[in-house]
Amino acid sequence: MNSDTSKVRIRQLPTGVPGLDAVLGGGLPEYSFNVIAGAPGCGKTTMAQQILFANATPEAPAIFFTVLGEPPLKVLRYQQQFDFFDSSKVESSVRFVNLSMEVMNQDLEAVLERITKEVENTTPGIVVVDSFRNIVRKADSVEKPEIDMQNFIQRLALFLTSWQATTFLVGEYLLDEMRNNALFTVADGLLWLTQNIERNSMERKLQIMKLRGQASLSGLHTFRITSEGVRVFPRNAGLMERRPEAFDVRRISTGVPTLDEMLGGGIPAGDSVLITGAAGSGKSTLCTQFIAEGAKNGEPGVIVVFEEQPPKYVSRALEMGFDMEATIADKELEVIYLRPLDLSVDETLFAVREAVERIGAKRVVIDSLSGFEIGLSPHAQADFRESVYRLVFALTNIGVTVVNTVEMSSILTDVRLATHDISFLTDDIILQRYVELDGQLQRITGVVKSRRGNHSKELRRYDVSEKGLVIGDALTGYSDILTGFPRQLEARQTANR
Amino acid sequence: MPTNESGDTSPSVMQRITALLDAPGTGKTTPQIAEAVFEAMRVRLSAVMGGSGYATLLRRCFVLACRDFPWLAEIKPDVNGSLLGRLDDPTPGLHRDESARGFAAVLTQFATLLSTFIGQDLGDRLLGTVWLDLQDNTEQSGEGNTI
Repeated sequence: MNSDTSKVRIRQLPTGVPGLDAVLGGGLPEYSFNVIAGAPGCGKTTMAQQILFANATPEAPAIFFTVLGEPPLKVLRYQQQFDFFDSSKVESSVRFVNLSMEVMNQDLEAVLERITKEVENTTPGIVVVDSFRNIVRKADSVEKPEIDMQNFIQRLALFLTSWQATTFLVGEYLLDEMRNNALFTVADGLLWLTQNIERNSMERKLQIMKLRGQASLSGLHTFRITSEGVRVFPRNAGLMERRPEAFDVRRISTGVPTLDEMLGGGIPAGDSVLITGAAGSGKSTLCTQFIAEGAKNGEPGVIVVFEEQPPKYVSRALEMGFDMEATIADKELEVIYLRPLDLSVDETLFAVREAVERIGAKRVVIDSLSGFEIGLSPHAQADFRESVYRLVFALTNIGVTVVNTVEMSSILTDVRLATHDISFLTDDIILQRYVELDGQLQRITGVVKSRRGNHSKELRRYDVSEKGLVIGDALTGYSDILTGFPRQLEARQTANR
Repeated sequence: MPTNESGDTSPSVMQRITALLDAPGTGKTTPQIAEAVFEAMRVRLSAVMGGSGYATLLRRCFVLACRDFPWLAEIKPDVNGSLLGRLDDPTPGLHRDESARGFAAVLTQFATLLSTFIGQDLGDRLLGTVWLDLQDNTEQSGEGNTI
């Protein structure tokens, strides 16, 4: 049995990088010796400086050792453009020290001596060496160095940890270089940054390749660099680790009583529902009714819009008698419009999670999955099914009922339920489609699948009125309805049915 | 009192530093004072921007200041930006005021360049450490306005 004193408690430092603490499993282990690696231009220096400024205080200052590479004045010039760069800390809590001379002389002993001297004089809480790779390169060019690189790294790590500094060595490395590299063996933490460009899109990813002493979130996490600095979007948006809500046996109303009947009494709470239909079939209208019904019953909602601009959504809702703006003002509703193109799933998840948590949402509408896919960067599009799975699972796992829409490309002839074989991700499927009947284009709807089974098998005519969906009687006396061109059955056949 | 970029009338850090050059009665020549000032700058600033980074910036300042004070062209910092022993020879017979104005021009160019590259706020912070060192030297020598 563990008592409070049986194990050392490793303090976790906040990184100051939004989202990174969650990925690290709570923060940076204090006194750890870390490497931030990746190709040039992927944000290593920015991330290191963000961490440095977040933690530097007069009592526990930080030292940023610059080595050959970006001239120190340029580092200061460009990095101060970020919001995290606090000029008032420079020289009081943050010191910039240049090691170029020692490195130029290819003298590892002198480098170590200089770092030791500066650290002993300052007793910093955070030490960054940027770029450590340049030290390695210079040292490698010496035929018989006085101390070898492994020895140097060991001594550096030992010294900095003993001096109670949390250290970051920043360097340009390729993944292939991980093998047989003493640096990665010695390091307690290894943060790997990458950037991928495909067609016109770029996506930056962070991976915690190694972190001693605590469980980090595995996988690749999207990050962006804005004027605020680096922002990480944990791939599960912090939703996966949340404990699932107790199984909710309730059924909740769609806002369309007849559809509730067809579903066997409404949507099972916590389900993922897919509404599939052609353009103009009323998917968004049904979504609005679903959210309005939630607002009426004290169940806050989030609408994630990818195609339509929110004002259009709000205006249609008002015509239906649902004042979205007032509901938004009451913090019972959030409408998130995610800007098209270059989105990552992680960012989408993050935005949805934040909105869900802000208002304690119980109902989420994603309108539409087709728009979601188009908005994703090409890399993310390749993993679209996984993306939808993560998004839907993360939400339903915490008891949120999710309604997704997906648009069928063909008005009449398309009988597929979804373009990306994502129907397996949903508990319930509502089909909306057009049929040609008696020389008229008419709408029919049906429940194709329901997790709890007892749903109606009927196909019913419906209209989209100013007030929403109005579902009529079952369409009887026809066959081949789902082809879009029903055939009228003879009276005898109808009777046998 | 000249105003600094922020519009207030308090002397900027560099104005305080350049004022040291015009300090009669210290028993030191202007080149000697300038040498001490530049050396204090070199020690502090090359730690931040590297020896060659500091030297390059300083050379640029001499070039810019030469337009108004051509005699400065004779002064060449070494590769690390040191001016030790390099300020006396090029200025024999130069009037103390002219000498002070010339070195002040170099220092002002330095502050301006620093401000151009990293902003006045950060530039002043770096120069502030130089000013503190110069003040320490003054206090240690116990000679009032002497460095």
